[in-house]
Amino acid sequence: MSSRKSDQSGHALGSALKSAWLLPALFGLWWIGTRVENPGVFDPYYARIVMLIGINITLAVSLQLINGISGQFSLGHAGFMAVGAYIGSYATTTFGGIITPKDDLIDFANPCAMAWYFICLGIVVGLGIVVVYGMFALIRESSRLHASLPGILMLLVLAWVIFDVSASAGNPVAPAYFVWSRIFGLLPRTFDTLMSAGLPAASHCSAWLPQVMLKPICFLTALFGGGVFAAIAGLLVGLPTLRLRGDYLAIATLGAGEIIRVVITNSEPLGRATGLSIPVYANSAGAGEAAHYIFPWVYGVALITTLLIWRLKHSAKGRAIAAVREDEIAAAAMGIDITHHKVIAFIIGAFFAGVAGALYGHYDGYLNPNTFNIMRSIELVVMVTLGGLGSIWGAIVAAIVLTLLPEVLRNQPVFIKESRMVIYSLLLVLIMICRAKRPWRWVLRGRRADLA
Amino acid sequence: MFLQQLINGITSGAIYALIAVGYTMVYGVLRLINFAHGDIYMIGAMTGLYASRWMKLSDEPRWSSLLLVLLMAMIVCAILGALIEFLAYRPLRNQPRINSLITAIGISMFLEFGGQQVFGATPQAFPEMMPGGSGTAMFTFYGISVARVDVLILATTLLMMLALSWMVMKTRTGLALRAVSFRFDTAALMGININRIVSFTFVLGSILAAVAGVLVAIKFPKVDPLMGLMPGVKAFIAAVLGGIGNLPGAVAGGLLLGLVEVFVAGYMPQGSQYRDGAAFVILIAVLLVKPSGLLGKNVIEKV
Amino acid sequence: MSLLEVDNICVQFGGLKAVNDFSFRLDQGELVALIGPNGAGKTTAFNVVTGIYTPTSGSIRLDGRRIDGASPVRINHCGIARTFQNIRLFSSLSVLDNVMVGFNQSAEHGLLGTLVRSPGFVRDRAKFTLQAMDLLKTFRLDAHAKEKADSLNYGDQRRLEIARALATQPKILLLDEPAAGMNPQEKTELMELINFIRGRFSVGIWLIEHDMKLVMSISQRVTVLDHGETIAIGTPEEVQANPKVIEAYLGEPV
Repeated sequence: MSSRKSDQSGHALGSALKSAWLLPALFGLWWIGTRVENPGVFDPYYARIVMLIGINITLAVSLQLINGISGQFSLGHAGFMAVGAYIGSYATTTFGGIITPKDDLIDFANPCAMAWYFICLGIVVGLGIVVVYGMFALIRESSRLHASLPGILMLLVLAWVIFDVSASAGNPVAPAYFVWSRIFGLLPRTFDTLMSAGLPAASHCSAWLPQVMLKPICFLTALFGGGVFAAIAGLLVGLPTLRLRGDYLAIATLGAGEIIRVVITNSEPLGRATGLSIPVYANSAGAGEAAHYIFPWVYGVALITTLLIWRLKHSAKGRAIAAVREDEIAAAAMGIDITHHKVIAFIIGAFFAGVAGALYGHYDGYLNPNTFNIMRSIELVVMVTLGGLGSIWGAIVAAIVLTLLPEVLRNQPVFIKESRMVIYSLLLVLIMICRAKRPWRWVLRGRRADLA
Repeated sequence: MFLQQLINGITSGAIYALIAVGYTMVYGVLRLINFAHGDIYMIGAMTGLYASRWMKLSDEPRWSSLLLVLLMAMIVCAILGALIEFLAYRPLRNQPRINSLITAIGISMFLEFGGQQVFGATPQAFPEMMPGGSGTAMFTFYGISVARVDVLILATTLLMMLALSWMVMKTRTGLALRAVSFRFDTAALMGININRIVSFTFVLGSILAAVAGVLVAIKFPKVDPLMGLMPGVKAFIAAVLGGIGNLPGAVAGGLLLGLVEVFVAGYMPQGSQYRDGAAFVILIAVLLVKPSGLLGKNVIEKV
Repeated sequence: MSLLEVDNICVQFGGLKAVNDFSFRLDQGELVALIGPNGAGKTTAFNVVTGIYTPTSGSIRLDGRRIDGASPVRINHCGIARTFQNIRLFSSLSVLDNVMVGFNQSAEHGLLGTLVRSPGFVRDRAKFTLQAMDLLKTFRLDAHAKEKADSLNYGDQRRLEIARALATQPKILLLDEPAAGMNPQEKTELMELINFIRGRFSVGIWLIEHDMKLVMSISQRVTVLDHGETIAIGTPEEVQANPKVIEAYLGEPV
């Protein structure tokens, strides 16, 4: 039984610390920001760390919603980040207006066209989802006829798809009726038709907007679009995994993240394994520099993410999500829609991960599918868990510390530097074993009792 | 051609089965996904490498030296597996499972990065271990050749599986193991020494992984510290496919996965790139349609 | 027409008939008990009425509308709430939060309102907090409002579960062995509390209980189950004297 006195004083101390931090923290951020934005004044190495911290904060807090508050162990967060990164950045390369001091490429940022692009993509993705979901639903319904039917049907369909696609590619294996290749081929064609239909109208719309606002609006649209498609990915991951318990859910999300990565690695427009270059909005130093001037965007997003997820946690909906985490059956008996609350955690968490990914893409200027592998998801899960499952502040602190740690180790004498990942992993194991005694958790409690 | 692919698939599947059994046993006993298991497989291969070097065995491959290398790998990995369990997993046994999961990930990272420091990150060549050459054909029929190493793999896997099932089904320790898998607390109350059984489980799994490591090193003579990552994940998927916690399921899952991979790589356009993805698609499909796996049972929660 | 009408329900698991041909009526304000030896199928009956199981045959009507086969969430929205045999509180949430969860269904605001802190959200928050504290005061748990639910003692936890169920503003309350594990003093207080609830919240109460004194003193009607079959229905006195009931509990006379 927890002693009420220490509980209350801990709570009081915690909230006092939190409000005292706010003003100096904001000032500190502004100060750092002005330094970061001027390359040459601030060492780009440190600037990069600052930017990565900001992005990782958004990622950690968004993951905290899924893993901590909603209690669904997701090991695929890097996948959501990847979706946002690639879609947002790809949109910018096509519609975002590109300046380079060397060539004079298109310099007309076209936000409405970008928005239309997202809409078309959304429609096509939606159609694809309907087809695949319909197929799965049919297969699942077949279990009514006989329990083993779904398994058999799945294998059959899988084999059929493989043969169909390979036959249509000219690889003569078995007679197929090109059903699947036709269906899958219809989607890109629909996309092209929609795009060409709407593009002129969209470009007209862009012409109406004030010139100076075009790039920021484009950037915002790219971020938002990346987030929305990541949210769709979140929906696609969250819905089917509803009935999976802890470990199974972890594996499923791990698999989902990897599938996303494999799909990206194999898609031509996204640069395959060699990666995608995003000619970013050039700063005064010229193209090729990482975009430090998006510092305000990065930390603005981090702040908004923290604010919104904090608000969600301390609300009726947040209570419901926590209740579902604690005991699904009891929550259902209290009239709380399990599906809705579980899926919404995924959707919102994935959305912010996507925005963070888009930010990362625009910052770094270069995307490689291997940046979004299992290791990345694991790093994020470690941040969230070390910070205390359910604690938003814990996630932030852990994000800062765990982004700094490898870099700090990098600057040590050679022996330590070489084996920094070994030390990192050893530290991780040691911390996990000694967790119960960590003093700062007393202040930044995980699963704080009072949410009201 | 088809039969050749079939043989390849079964061989590949046998390796997955060996590793998957380790995953499934540990999960059955501890409900823990031992992420470090794939790296034990890697250590097995590495031990084989250094053992063969140390004993200067590659000069003249003999069956006895091959056996010796296998034995050494098995011993080293058995000790390592038991050590990891004792140091890293046992202290966390009463904590929520996610903590053990993260620790397992940490151990895996430690083995991988540590391996890169100790063994060097560049792949090294595994010496020829089989008399007569591992690649040379043992059987040839209908234009298909079955390499000697493939026969070795199949024979060894079969042997180990038989030994394992004898161990699990016919001995008292095996009975205790099954009891612990079924009901942890009750088994403890019945006087079973949980710690010993858990260690035993890890030892068994590690031995099998070590054997898999050496066999793969003989077949594809390139070993590097990260070689355990992908096979580990895939073997785990195989275990899930067969029903995690279920021993025959792990074997079935491994074989099935090996076959599917080989066929996807062989028959899909640009299939070799989708080979890795196939495993994950299977994973998702299994989890969507029958999460308890092909041979697993659904456990219903009592309200 | 009664508020709750259960007609000839059968619940079958494979070959086992957990509940066979079970019928039941409950009206608002009534207090009816369901008793029987362990394993008789009482909790199964509860589970089928609250939507956790679907009956293999038979029907369940609430206010005339059929609810058999509906999900537990929908059934709660229609007006049936329950407590559980093994306490299922939201352990890491505070006592107050446990109760406030029940008010979610009457919320005026949605996700957007939550994120922007709309006036609807603020109103709801104030309203729910007030109503929840009121409920806690009734159950004498208001002093513990900010504590974690699992830090309460056993008797308090059971009362919290009942308070939480009442927060969903049900027409019918199902209590599954609410007095289990309580000492005689606590049981007496619980009896008074249940009677009080019946009047104050005008709910129909269906009670599973093993303590005969508790059951007989507050219930108006009693149904007795044994091995899934109904072996007696009637007033407490009638049931107590019924030879079949005595045999079910005590065995055949020697």
